[in-house]
Amino acid sequence: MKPFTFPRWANKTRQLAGVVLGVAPVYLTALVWYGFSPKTTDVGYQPKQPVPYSHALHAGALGIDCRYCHNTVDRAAHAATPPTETCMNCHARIKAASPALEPIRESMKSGKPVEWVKVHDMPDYVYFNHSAHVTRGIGCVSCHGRVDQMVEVYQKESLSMGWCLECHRAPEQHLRPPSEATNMTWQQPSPSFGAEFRKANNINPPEDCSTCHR
Amino acid sequence: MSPVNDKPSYWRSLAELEQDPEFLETVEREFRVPLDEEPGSPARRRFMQVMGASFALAGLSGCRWKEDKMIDFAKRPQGMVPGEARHYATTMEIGGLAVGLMATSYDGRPVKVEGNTAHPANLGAANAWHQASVLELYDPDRSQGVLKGGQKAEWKDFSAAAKEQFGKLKSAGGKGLYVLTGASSSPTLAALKKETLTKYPQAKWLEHDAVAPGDEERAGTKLAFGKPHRVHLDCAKAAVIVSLDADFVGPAFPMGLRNARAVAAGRDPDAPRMNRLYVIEPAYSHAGSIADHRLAIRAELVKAFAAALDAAVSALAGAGADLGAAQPKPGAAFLSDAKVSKLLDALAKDLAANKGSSLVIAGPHQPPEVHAIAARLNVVLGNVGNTVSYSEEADVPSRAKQLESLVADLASGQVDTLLVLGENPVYSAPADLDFAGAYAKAKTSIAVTSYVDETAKVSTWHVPLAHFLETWSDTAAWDGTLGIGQPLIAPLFGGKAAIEVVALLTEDVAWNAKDLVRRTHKNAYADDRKWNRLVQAGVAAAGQLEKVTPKLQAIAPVKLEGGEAGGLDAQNGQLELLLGHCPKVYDGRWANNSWLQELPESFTKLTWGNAALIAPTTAAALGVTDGTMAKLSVGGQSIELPVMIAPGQATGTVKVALGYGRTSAGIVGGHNGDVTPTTPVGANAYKLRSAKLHRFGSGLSVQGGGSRVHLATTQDVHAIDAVGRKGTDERVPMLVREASLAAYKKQPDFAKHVVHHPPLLQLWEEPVKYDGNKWGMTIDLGKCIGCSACITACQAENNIAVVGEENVKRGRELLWLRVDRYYSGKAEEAGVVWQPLPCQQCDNAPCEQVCPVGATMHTHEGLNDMVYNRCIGTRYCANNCPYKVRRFNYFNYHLDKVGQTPWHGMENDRHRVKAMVFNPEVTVRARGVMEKCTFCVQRIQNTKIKAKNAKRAIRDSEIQTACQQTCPTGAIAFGNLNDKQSAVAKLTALDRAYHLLAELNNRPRVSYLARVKNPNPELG
Repeated sequence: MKPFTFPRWANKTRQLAGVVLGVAPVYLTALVWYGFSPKTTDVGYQPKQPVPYSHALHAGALGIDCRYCHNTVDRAAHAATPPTETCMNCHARIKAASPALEPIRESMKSGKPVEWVKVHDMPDYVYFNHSAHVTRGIGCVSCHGRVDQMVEVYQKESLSMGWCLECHRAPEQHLRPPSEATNMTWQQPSPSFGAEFRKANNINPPEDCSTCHR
Repeated sequence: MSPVNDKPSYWRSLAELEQDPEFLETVEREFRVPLDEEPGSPARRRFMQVMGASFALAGLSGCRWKEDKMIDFAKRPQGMVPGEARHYATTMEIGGLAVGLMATSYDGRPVKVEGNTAHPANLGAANAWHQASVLELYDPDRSQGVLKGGQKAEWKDFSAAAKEQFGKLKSAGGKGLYVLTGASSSPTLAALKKETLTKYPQAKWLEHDAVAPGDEERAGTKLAFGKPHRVHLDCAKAAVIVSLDADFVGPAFPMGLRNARAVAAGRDPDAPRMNRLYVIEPAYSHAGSIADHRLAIRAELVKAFAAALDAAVSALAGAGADLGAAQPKPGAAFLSDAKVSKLLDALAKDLAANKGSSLVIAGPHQPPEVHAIAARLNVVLGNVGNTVSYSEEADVPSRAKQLESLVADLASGQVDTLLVLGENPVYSAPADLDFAGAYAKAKTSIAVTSYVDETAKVSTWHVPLAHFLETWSDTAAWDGTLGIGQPLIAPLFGGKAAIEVVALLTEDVAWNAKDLVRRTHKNAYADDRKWNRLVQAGVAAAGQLEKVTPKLQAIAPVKLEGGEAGGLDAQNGQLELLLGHCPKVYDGRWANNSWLQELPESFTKLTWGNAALIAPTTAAALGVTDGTMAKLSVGGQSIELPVMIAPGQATGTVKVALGYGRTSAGIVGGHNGDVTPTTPVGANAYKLRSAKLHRFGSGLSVQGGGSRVHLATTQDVHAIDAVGRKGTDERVPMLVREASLAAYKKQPDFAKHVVHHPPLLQLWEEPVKYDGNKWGMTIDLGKCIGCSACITACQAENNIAVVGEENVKRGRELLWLRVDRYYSGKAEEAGVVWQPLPCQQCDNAPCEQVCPVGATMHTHEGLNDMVYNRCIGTRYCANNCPYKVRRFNYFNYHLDKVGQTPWHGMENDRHRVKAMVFNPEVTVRARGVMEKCTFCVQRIQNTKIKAKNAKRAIRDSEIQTACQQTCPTGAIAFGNLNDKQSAVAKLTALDRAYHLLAELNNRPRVSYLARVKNPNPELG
């Protein structure tokens, strides 16, 4: 019987292995770096909500101010999802029979709240405070994107710690008068506005760990 | 030079004083037990199973964590802001002593209580019992529903049965109806009592509380004034205070928190007058620990001492004949002791020199004669109306007598229906009464209790008692001030208020607690707005008891019997047994409260159990030492307990805390139920109690066995070891600095000269400028009474886990704040110094420099931040901390069992209830991370945000740390050191302020104020 011999092309495996071993660490690093980054895993997160509520319609087309529903945003840590009552303020009359609004009417009847799914979900060891940002002059749009154009809300930014710190280190380009906080289209009037506003209002975002972690 | 010096002048335990080899080994080791010695840890296979499960879970959920829901209300109540803290005034009473509290609630979930600053009994302070009350609220072992003969029943079954039963009793004129309540000050309960006795004229209404004060005082003031009176102290006005075995600053004393505040305020060495405190007591109390002069004598000798004091003071102060004859000087043998007679003479002179501004306080458990003599002394010294005042009391028999009469009636079969409200007499009645045997003879017994306890188990009916945070209530403070409590949460387990059950007796329809309380006060608070304002404040501005000036009667010379006239020592067999409330579990009612079980007892630092505390010389004579199991026998009864030697305790005494050895407390305190039975914590000292030996008495014999046990103390675990054992003698006086008032006046900055070191330079330029807020704290060692309320407050605020007895023995307790107790001087007459020790938040922090992952970082305001999610558990930081304030999570202690993962452990009902106590502002730490005091950074951040939102500066003392807020004496101050007008900056600038281990160049942010004592110059 003829002994088994490796075919000629097998000689190439050594070179090939060299290439694979050389490329693999780079590939793996890149895979983890980008694949596990919040930019990849979290940005674009768009869970299905119990009611197909359209921010594009309400906040965009109808122009309802964010604070009509998220009314604790400028005085509390949580922006607060609106209670069912808030929906029914209008929908008792408008589209009162829409089948899509059935969970809302049901909630109003039973007193059991609607279970909205959290889109911007921070880890439990992060203590984010909405009021601290909104009253300083950070607009909703800076973190949440153009909600007025989202039919279903999705996560626009990565909400990673590095992303938070970018702004905490240089908040200038995100600053605006607190009165314009909910304005989705507001633009800084001049390139120097941010620096001047920051100085005038003594805005010094801390970068200490205990600012957010306690 | 020998590495070990002579015996130290300050010491933490006798082992240290004696240089016990075991102690030396403890100091050598950083962490007491090497990791590989962990018994009972999950085996490797088990570990893989557990981890396998969590890997699987990780796989299922993909790259994202669990989907989170946002659930608001369907109709949000007006003014409600989700996730924000709300504060509601309420009131709580323990043994009839009421305080006002302010409960913090998040989204309808009360998680923390603080003192109500408007309430006169506590002035914003709270003790460990109040602080731990929220844990009881969420205790899944609390009774889950009505029981009939041990079987599940419904409230409506009970109310129907009760209605029928009570109807029958009513037609019989109430014959056979007995109501046994706890010590209570509730005006509503008092009104219901009155109504019950009107509608059931032959019914009996009795009161039981194993340890509450009041009985001897009523009897004693009756001896002195002809009528029973209540004593009201005003310690703030007193220059000389004499305590005859009274822990008048302690938690179980009427207005103890208020007294502590007043006494501490009077101990400012810079004030024109500093008070002087003499304490005569058998065993260490909080008052004794801050005394300028303390005499440790057996409790039975206090009577003779009081009589001798009366003789001496009356002669010096020139007591008029209208006050009756003074006590003749008793011929007790111990009075001829040089030390005793010298103190007696000096004390009498000091009192006579401070007429009108002195104060004599008798201990609540001392016999009536001592109270009578104290009353007489206060009259003779002109203190009435100044430092002490009186109000009239009803003449009722003592609670012990009331319980005896109940047992007699039970035994003779006269009791048809016995309603027990909130008490557990089957457990807490003295052994010689055989209450359990008699209780079985009641035809129908109804126990309204929080737990299915020893009494509820053998009752015909059991009704769960609502927690005070679950229902409406009203209380009257010791001075009569009305307090109103409102519910913060609906009863979690269907509990009913005691008043709701009593109302079944008096009313035709079921009433709820709210209407009952409102009805009681309908006259004074008819107007809704007025009523709402009262509920909001939680305390009424009026309602105080009317003060009277009673006329002193002649008091017969006291009779001294047996040991009462003896010498200072007592032999085995004639030893004195002291039975007292436990500073942690009170009379046993908080046996299932793990915060209190794990709280180190102030003096012994013992957790999880009680011990026989024996004076050093007596222990030596008995041949017993720390941890020796001993049999304590008196009057034919005996129990076994480990011995602990108690420096400073009177020779011939043995002190045992009541409240342990529960057999039906719950999983924490011990129960013998069907599901996961647990052994009782400690031993039941009620077994040694009798009518004769109620609070103390002689005739005890101690028999030391051969075996020794390992006590779960935190005493030597975190011993500061500056540079090994060498030099401890020099170093401890550097840690706790004290001087007499005279020495202080001569050299006010003595504390700064205790340690001399070369100038401390920085190797590098300051990385942080601290130009904004610069947080700092001061702790006044002259004010601390060692009550440990701060420890429990810290635990409640910061979600600190309980680790259990086994882990305490391994030195793994997690309490962020400890109160170091140093003894000084000779063992028999040891003095005590307290030193609360939180993280010192060093500017030049040794912990920060060794963390390999940057998990502990310095902030721009000077805090040492601990970042849990970065920590990988090397524990280098704890190793490098000279103050030993860092704590490590060896397990997921918040879960029920070792080996559970957070994902699985949370998914059961028990845990869901338990988790409700967590403060949502603070991360709950998991296994493998380091933690430590943060200066309550969550309070700092929230206040900073609130202030800046309102565009204003943070006010001084606007931020209070949890320990500071609850401190009865105001020993802790916190604030911004950069604000020179702040309280903390002013205190830091005092001459007697010093930093702990400043010579290490750590530059700590906590300043200690050296303790200044005010000894009588005559006593040297």
